[in-house]
Amino acid sequence: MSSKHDREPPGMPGEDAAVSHAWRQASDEEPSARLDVAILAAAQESVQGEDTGAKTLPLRPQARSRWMQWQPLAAAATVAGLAFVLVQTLPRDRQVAPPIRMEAPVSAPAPAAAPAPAPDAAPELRSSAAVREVTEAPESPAADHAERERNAESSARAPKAEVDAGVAATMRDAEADQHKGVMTQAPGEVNSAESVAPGAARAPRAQAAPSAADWAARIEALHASGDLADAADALRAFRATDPQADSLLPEPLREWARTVD
Amino acid sequence: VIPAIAAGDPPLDTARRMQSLPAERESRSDEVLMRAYGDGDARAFEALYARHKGATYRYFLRHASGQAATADELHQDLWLKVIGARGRYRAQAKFSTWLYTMARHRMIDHWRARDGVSLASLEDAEIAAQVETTAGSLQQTSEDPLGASIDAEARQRLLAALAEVPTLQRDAFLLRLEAGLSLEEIAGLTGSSIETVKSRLRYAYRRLRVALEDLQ
Repeated sequence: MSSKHDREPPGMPGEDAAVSHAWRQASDEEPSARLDVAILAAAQESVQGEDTGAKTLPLRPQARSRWMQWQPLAAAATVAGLAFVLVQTLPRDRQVAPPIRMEAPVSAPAPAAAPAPAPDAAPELRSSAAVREVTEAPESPAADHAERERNAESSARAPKAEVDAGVAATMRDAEADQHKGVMTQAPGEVNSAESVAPGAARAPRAQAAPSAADWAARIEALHASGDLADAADALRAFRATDPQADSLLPEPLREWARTVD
Repeated sequence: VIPAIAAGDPPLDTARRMQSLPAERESRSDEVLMRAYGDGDARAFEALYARHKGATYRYFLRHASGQAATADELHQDLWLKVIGARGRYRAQAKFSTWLYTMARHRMIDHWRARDGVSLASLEDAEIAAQVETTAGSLQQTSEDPLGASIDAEARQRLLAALAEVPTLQRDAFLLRLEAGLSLEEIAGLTGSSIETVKSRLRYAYRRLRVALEDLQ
């Protein structure tokens, strides 16, 4: 039942009244009763569904508001708990935070504990085996040996220029410490080690004399990389610091060491 | 959710209720009825539906070239959208404008899905039809060719003539004659100027008058 008068718009200029009249007589179809029923049923269900929901769950808003009140706290507690569990269960990786032997600060003539390196220096230290070897202190003889083995392998794989730069910096530092006892590097001076590892350069540099194990590892690495001249220089410097240097070298290098005067 | 249309006759209570809607409800405006339905008054929707169902059905039927199945589907989709929007309805415009905006969008979606037809292509067809009309020099007469009533043949001829009218002109004609919208409302609804709407209506009227004149 839509009435015909509902469809009759007010006349407009140019509108053909005769055609409009004929059209209203010709066009009178209605949707089927089944369609009407389906649509009205959907409308009824929409209203009833809402009423039913409201009646069956009268405490919903209160419960929801209580939950909404505690939800942020519960979420924060969950996140904190998960973070704590993760931190506790993750294995400690020595490579991520290696123990670093600190040395005297630049301005201090006497050996003293140096400040810890900056956090961003760690990746650069790890990236350069040469620099790392100077700063790391083996924890035990076994670990020392394993560390030396790893360093030797990584040094052999490292580009020769990087090894040279690292060795040069190490040797110069060692000689400076050995003979002068104080740092000769002026403030602001940039050495070759810094050019290799800028991040490491920002950290307090390790200035102590390398240990016998470090010397041996360095010489072994140079020898393994084929740079016999630098290896020989390093051996001579090692001998200058330790008369028993040859005997501290790994067995395969001792025969070569005899050829170095 | 589109409810399945049950086969067979409608339940008597529903049919009876539709026939005997209280007069007081009929007197309320569309907007008031829709708001009442939004507040949970299902009888308000029944009055609203009874008021507009014929026009919306015919709007779809004419655009669907008389295919009742297509008109049924589109008509049901439209009213289910109205039902779904009952909680969001705000009477910022006339209910009929809102209703036919949705109807037109549904119609365009149908064309696009079926034939890949876009509004741009419809406008191109409209321009071509207007050129054709101008070249044909259709004469508009002031005589009433049919008098007070039309017979079955005239009815068929009229419906067939409208089916041949380009889509946008037919749309304007149906929005005017079936929905009862004003020129301004049609212009706002279709995104056209009033002059464009007038032009489309003039074209549709001419085509229908020619069809009727052929009967004489």
